[in-house]
Amino acid sequence: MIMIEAKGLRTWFPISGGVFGRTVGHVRAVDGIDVSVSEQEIVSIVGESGCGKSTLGQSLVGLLPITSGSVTLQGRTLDISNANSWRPFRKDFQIIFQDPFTSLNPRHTIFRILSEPLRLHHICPARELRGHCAELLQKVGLPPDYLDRFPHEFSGGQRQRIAIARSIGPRPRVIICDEVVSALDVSVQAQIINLLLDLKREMGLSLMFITHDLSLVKAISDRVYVMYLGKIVEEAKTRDLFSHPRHPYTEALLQSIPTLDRAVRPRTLGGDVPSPVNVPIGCVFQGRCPYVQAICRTVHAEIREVGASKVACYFPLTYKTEENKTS
Amino acid sequence: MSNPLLHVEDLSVGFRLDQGTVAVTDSVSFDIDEGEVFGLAGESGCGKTITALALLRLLPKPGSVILSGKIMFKGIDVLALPLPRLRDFRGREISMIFQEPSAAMDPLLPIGKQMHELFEYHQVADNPVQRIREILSRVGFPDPDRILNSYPHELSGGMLQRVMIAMAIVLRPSLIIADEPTTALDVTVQAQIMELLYEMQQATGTSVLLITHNLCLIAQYAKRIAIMYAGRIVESGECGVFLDKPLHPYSQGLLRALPNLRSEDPTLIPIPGQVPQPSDYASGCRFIDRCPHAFARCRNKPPLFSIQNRLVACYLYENDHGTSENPETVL
Repeated sequence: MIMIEAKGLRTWFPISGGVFGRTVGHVRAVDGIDVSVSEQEIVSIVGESGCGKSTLGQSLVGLLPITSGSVTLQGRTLDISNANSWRPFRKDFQIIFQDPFTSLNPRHTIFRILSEPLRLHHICPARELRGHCAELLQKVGLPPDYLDRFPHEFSGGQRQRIAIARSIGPRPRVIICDEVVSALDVSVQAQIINLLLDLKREMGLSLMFITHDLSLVKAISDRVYVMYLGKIVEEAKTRDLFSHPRHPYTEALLQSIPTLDRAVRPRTLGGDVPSPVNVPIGCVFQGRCPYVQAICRTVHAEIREVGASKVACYFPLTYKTEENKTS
Repeated sequence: MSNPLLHVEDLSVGFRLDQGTVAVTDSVSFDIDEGEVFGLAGESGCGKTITALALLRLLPKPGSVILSGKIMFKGIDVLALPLPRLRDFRGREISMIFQEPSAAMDPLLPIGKQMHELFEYHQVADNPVQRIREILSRVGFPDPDRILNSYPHELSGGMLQRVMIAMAIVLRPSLIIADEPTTALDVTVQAQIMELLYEMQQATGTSVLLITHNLCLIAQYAKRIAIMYAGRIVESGECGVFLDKPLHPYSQGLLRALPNLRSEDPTLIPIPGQVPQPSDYASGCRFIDRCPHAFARCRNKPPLFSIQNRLVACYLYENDHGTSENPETVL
């Protein structure tokens, strides 16, 4: 079953200006995106800061008003103009945020934080709440007697475990993980990732990882979407993406990551990510693309199948060995 | 070997708290040679930034104190420098690139004015404006005049970090401290900035102290590396050898916990537990609670053992001290 399917999704934020506060433009944070997440699949959305990946995640679960497009959750298409249409799905679609220091209410005890979603979704009778919360803590590797403590008593890694415990409380089917480890230290990052993978196996979850860290994407995901300036520029199985990147941006992204291998120097890509307010006409990547041609400056390339991947580029990268295989 | 450019010996920095002074770094020692890129790596809170600030005596006051230690730079005792001489010394001998370029600049002054201040203060160069233009075009701005008249908020993070690099090298210091120079930047911009820094380092022959939590950056750019954990250096040595065979259990754990883009095996092996807080530092080895090899001896503070041209603060290597025996047999 396909858990999440979005088609032509647009989330634009109005910019007001002038004396009368009229809308003078839009930030095209998410600009016409198709994504899907199947049952028990791990999908990654990868991109640099400001590319719209967090907006995408929040739009999918109804935390941000969608401008246009369609969202289908578990086979049911939602009325995107009505924020209430997400209600019945809230229990099954959870989200974990980047910063565990701001996502937990500092004035609530851990018990209150964990029990709130359980009460709202009528997961268990009131007298069993405490036992249930203690169980949740154990599931994420924390001692159950932490229930009466407050978030400030915990380190970043522990807080992220608490946030995970909160999200698995209502027994969801899908968890959107928005940069869940980027605020944590390397030695703790791996703990949190492994915890999520264990829970995924145990509970049969689908996960959507939103991240800028390609090494992490490679380590965990089944399928990857690469985002740039509000658009998906490439979609592929993880293996194909890393062995045969098709979009010039994907290639540049892969090459610019430093690795532990001292023999391979990162190659650099010039320029900066442009502002999503003034999206260039034509291909979003034209200003930085080393292979840019005249046509790239006129019309944005629609995403299409090339080899095993889908790419939004007129001149996707091709690979010799593969051509021989197909011909 | 000739005298190193910078010699840091037993440097300990403490924070004054209500409960008394807590040492956040403990006996940090390292040398940086002329023209060398030296990497200092560690997780957040391990004391790397504090060590860097101590080198320039820029520690936040009041509250932090240098408890003990010696910092020798070109034979000058930095800790004994009188304040006026110290001010000349900062920027001209050792300059610094900070993590967050937008926070390191004055938001109310145009870039040109901020750069000009450097020249005014240090009273160098006959034609500062010309020098500033030159240096800005060297760090990759095609039209320096536009940058000179811009305010920091008009430039992107990557551009600001270029300006910071320009400011750091313009007085031709012998050492540049780069404290997490690319952590606030995107990967594609990170690569640009690191290449620029490296290119400038190669062209001017200055030394760089590269401080980062990103081992990959150090692997790419540094000649030697020191790993810090909970306020102490636990291992130091040549970068290549270190990456091939880390000796300290913490270094080994760190490298295993890192997702590797080039490796085919995707499993991540985390280090159990978490980094201790300075107030909870154990009296012996500070990695003891998380170490898979911990034994009774680890309750004492491990000295740095010299093995295979490396220094390791771990009792596993006590018996190999000074010998070239294969450490794998111990593990």
